[in-house]
Amino acid sequence: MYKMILLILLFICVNPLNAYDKNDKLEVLIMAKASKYIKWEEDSSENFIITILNNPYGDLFEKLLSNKKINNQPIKIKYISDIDELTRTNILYIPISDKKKLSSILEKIKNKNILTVSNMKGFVERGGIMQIYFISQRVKLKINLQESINNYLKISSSLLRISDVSNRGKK
Amino acid sequence: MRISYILCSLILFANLQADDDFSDSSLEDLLNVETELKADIGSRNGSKNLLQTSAPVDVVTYKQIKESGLTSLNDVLRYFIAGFNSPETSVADGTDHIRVFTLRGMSSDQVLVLINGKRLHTSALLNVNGTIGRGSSNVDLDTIVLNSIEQVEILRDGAAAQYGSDAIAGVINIILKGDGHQNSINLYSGIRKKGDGEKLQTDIFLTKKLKYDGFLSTSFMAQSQQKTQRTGTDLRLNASPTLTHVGIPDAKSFGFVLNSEIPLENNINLYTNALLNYRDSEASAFSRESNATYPDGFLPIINAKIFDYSITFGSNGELGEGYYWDISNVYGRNKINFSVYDSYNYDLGLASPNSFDNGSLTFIQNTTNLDIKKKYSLLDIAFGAEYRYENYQLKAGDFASYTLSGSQGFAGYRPENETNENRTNYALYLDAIYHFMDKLSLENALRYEDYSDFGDTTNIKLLLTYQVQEELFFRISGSTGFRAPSLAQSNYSHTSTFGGLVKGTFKPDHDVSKAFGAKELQAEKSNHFSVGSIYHTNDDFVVMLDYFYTAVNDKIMLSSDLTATNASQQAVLDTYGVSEARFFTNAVDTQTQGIDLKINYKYLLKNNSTLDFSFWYNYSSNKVTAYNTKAITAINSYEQIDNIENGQPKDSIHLLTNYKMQKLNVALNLNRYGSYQQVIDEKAYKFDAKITTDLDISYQIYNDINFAIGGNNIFDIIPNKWNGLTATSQEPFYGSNGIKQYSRYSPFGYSGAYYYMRVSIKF
Repeated sequence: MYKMILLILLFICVNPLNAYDKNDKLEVLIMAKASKYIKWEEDSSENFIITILNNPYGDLFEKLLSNKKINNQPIKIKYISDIDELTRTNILYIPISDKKKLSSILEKIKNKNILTVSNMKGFVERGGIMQIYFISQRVKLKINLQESINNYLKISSSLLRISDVSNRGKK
Repeated sequence: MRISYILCSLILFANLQADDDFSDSSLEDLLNVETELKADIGSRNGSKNLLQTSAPVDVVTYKQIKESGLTSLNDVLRYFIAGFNSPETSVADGTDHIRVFTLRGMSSDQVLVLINGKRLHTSALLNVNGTIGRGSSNVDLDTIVLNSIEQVEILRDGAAAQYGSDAIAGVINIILKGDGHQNSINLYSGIRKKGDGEKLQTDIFLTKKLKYDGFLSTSFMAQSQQKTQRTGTDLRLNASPTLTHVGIPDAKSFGFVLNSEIPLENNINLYTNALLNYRDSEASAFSRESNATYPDGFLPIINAKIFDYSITFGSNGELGEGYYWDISNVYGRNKINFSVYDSYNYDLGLASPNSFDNGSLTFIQNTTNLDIKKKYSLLDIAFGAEYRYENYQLKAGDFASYTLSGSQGFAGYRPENETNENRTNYALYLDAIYHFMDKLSLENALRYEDYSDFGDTTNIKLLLTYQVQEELFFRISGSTGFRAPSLAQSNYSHTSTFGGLVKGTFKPDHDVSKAFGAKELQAEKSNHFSVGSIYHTNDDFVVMLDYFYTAVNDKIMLSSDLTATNASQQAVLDTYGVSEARFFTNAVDTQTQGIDLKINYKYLLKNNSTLDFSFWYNYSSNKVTAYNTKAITAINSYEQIDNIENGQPKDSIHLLTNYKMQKLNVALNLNRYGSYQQVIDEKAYKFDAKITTDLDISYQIYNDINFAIGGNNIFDIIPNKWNGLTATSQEPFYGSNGIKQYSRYSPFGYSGAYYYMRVSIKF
């Protein structure tokens, strides 16, 4: 009996925890998969860079996206705690906690060929490009088409077809 | 040794399960994944996955509500939640019109109800007849339009340390539909197998998107419910040719719900919701026998006009540095106007009118609340304050309704019964969650409350959770709690004549009550303990097992009808012209314990069809462990004590099955209600456990048009009649061949099978 309990405890202790929120996982993966339907300006860099501002999800990005590729470029994850630390990136993920600073963040990266992604409510209407949100146990995508054009991003019609598209107006 | 092997195997098996990382899924597949069911209830620190809640939480979604075919929230919760009871009583005055509900067999006022996380007011009605929930007031759940509900969250744990008074048996949080729903209209029509109880309902849901993902949603509902009649033979010598109505009342109701969130440019959200319901309901008293003045006898009809509304305004936003704030005000009011028609006041003779205004009851509650919360890396913290104002009013009826013997069926409230009492209370609270080593969390809730009538109380709750594996989760909690005596319990009084005896219900501070030893009401105090675990594989197979224990000290009860046992008591009774008296008192200590076992399994079939099973077993045992007053003892209140201990099923089972294939959806549910008993004339009569079956078949006949047929209790199961009690052996009102053939405690009513059709249109 005691050996068995010891075995169980040992097993528990050596086994890494995988208790990530399923919604968080979906959000990260959808961001990555949706990026495959988007074209950035010609880029000779070696890596596809995803920058996470004030990382809300621990090592989830690394766990799900390391050793993966987008547009044949290996994904590289960068973490920053202030928008002024931002260097070249393909995607900037902005968490809900930065809602108050959103307008200044977006202003700083305006027209810089960066896909902005967030799950915060009203993100797309406030000038963000891709919003991932959850309604009635389903995950949804919302895209600000005009902002993507302003940032020189080409979004395929396949992605627009399965997204809620706002701000379709031409520049 | 065997148990340890099983446990070890379970953990090994859990570890071998593939992690659902969806890495190989396409974007389209990911957008079709059913995401986690989350609930806001149980913690002030944001919504939580149901597989990781620190206390047992259940969620009933709007899809499940729709596929149940039900039109009453009481029935929806009875259908989905094992251990939730909501009998359909009859010939019980006000209780016929506002259904009582209980959780785990505890009192109906020991369940707190929230709308979008904010406290909802109770009904003004105090259940003073011999029904389940006697002596309590509960929220009128039927005031809420079902088509306005996104989901109902049920916390099955004591939570007074988090939410304040009443949260002893649990908390029900009703979340209204927000963004992301289509406009819809539903048409329902149904009828009982016996051809009565016809129900017609129309409801409309309209929603409009606002800027920054805001929304404005409204729901309207109109319902007509015809009565059912299940009375037996009236064996009285001079029985009226008009039979007593025993069954569901005649009722017409209208409901409106508004829910809106308006995000502003500056990142501040404004939100509001409003509930409004009007119900006009009619049920009868016992028919009155023929006599010289009334040769055909008569059947008094009690009419309740219920007007209920609540309005919430609030705002939330971020202060900076990660501090989030939320300020809100909720005003709620419930008013019941009673009238009686087709009746007489015997003592007024032929001068008596035959319709009466019997008076009204009103309850008002206003709650102002401020919450602040912040997340640190290993600590989530929330704190806040609440101020609540309550008012209870009882207004007298017209003179003819109460003078002398009063209107037959239900005597009007007298001028001396009139009351208009206020109470205020404020609360300060703090919730904190410490995350240790990712796997281990400790949650602490502390709440101080000060009431203007009975004083202050401090309560605490501790919850510990441990995520052994992604698939295996343990939780344990302990807490203290309380329930403040309601203003109705402290201030209700009424005098009526029944069977020639004048009976009075008196306030606890009335001379009559004091003569029988009554004291000022104090809060009920409670202690809670629960321990449980969750095991799941990729959400498709989930097992939850929880043990719960609740001890309540000084439970408030309405005493039995007491007669004088000494000369001084008799003198007081004579002074007020009554022969029997009753009053509210902190009567007994109770103990509730049991288990909940839930197993959910989702099976993905070919052609993307799914088969969902849900099995839920609840066992709840309620015992009276101590008597605190001579006004209520095991001897002089046998009926009431048995009502607590055996009046509701100790066990119940729900087996819910849902098959979905493209445009077709079939829901088949089996419900087993355990046995229960009712005491009549100091003798207990037992009623057998029964199994009922519900079926709903819906088909999408066009893009946005859905048609459904179905039935509740489709095999027309009815409770057994009184075993050994005949109407002639005891009294004519109860008995297997009497006016009331079935117990009013029946957990699934006694009106039998109900069949319906439903058309839903989205636009």
